[in-house]
Amino acid sequence: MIRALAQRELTRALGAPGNWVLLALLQFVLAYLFLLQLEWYQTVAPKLANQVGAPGVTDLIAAPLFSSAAALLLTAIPLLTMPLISEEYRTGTIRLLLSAPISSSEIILGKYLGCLLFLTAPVTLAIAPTASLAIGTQLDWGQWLTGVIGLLLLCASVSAIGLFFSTVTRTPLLAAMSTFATILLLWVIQPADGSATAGGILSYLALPGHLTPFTQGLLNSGDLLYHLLLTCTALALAVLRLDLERRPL
Amino acid sequence: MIADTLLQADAVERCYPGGYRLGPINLELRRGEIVGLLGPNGAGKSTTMAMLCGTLAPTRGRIKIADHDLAESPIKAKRCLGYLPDNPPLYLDMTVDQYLLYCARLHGVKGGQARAQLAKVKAECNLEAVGGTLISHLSKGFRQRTGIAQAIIHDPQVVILDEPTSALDPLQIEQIHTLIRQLSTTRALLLSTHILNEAEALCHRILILHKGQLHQESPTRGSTQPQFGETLLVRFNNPPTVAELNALSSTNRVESIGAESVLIHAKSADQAIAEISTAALIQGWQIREISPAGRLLERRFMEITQPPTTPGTTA
Repeated sequence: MIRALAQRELTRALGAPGNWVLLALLQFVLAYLFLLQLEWYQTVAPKLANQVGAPGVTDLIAAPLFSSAAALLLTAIPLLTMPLISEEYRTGTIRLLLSAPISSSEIILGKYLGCLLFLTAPVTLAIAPTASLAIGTQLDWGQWLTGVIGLLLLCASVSAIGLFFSTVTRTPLLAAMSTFATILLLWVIQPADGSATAGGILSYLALPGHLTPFTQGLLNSGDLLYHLLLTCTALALAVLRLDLERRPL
Repeated sequence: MIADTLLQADAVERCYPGGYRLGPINLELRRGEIVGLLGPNGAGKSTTMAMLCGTLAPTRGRIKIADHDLAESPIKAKRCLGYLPDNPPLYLDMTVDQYLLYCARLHGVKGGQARAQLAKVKAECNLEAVGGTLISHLSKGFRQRTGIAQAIIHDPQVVILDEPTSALDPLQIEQIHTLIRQLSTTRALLLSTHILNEAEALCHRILILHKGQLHQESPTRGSTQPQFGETLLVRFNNPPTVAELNALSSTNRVESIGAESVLIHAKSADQAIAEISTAALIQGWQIREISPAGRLLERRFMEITQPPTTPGTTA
């Protein structure tokens, strides 16, 4: 059942022309950033050549590009997740799902997995240029891989938030805006001194602190847990919200 | 008898903030039965159907579908249920075949069985020619039929259709009626409609919903024939007594309504007309009007849905 829903969601996403335009724009910006980064690297590379322990190509090109890709994905994901449930509300097809022998959690999981599968496309597009560096130089594959994991986790948690907001309203654009506002809040939220090590809930909630370690090649269980918690919370809320659709007022 | 009750609703109610209450609704659908749900717009027909289908939970009351409680084991109950909402739940970016196979999968019908069901349902709903067409390219009539196909693709025992013939042309309506009659032989059907004639032609029993209250019209006991088609309204210039009419062999029951009119429930309308007109000729009753039962349902519908008016004030 979940598979049927996920497959349906993936084919819907692949069939929507808007998504392709979005992917194309994303790729255009990423390619341009990649080019800039590469040019800059070529100017600094001779100076670094003689230093011991100087940052390599993965640090100087892949890591910044992953950070830019993350920022771009944060703006793109709300647009991709907005129709997940709200479009079903709007067209009335939600009644097909609600009257079918499937539970709300199956509906949410199916939709979520379908969306994640589609998100592997922009992530692949984002990491492909950096992987191509391996043709001419040596990449730190370990660091590169943690960066990729970071991007995937970001997709997982942010799209879960998007899915939740999509269950809240029947206006897709409103869902996108709410998702974007939430992500933006998570992005900027931090204690005034800006220190990531400072205690407190605020600094823990901040998204960047759980993203940059990945691009630096660090795989912290704490960061994994953060994304897992964010994902599970958002999905659980989405299931509850969908259940509310059937519940008495 | 109990085994054949496929859907049972006990005192189902839905309350809204502001005091409006729908129900309590008590109804029973039996195998082989077509039940019509009538009511003016906004009476709560669609809400009632949504509750019976589990897309909307009732505030109080229990619903059982094929012996499964809808609240306690919703998955099992919904397997036995096909539902066409008032607005067919179609995905416009899919072709008819893709859509129906997807619906079959959602209801747990897979692989070869799903394809066999697809072929069968497409034949039943006359959709063979448009299997590969995108739903967004279909006319309203085809969309409606795709919606009906979606409701029966998993071969459910209970089929609930919310205004199945809206937006169809007369020929298509006739096709859908034939389909509904075919479906009802092994299933229980509940359908809502605005069209009184349709309800008469199709349904064995009629329920009228008004302001959240359900008025049950009693069925002809033991009869599988639609009740209302077998009732005549007769007006005489020189009316006979009810007893005289009751004495005729073709009449089941005679009701007097007003000084000159009677309602005659008959086994067969044709026979009754022949017998009454012969008798009227002999006895000099002078028939002014014989009309089929549409009037009866219409009259009851009006009685229930319109506030009573004092005699002489009607325009």
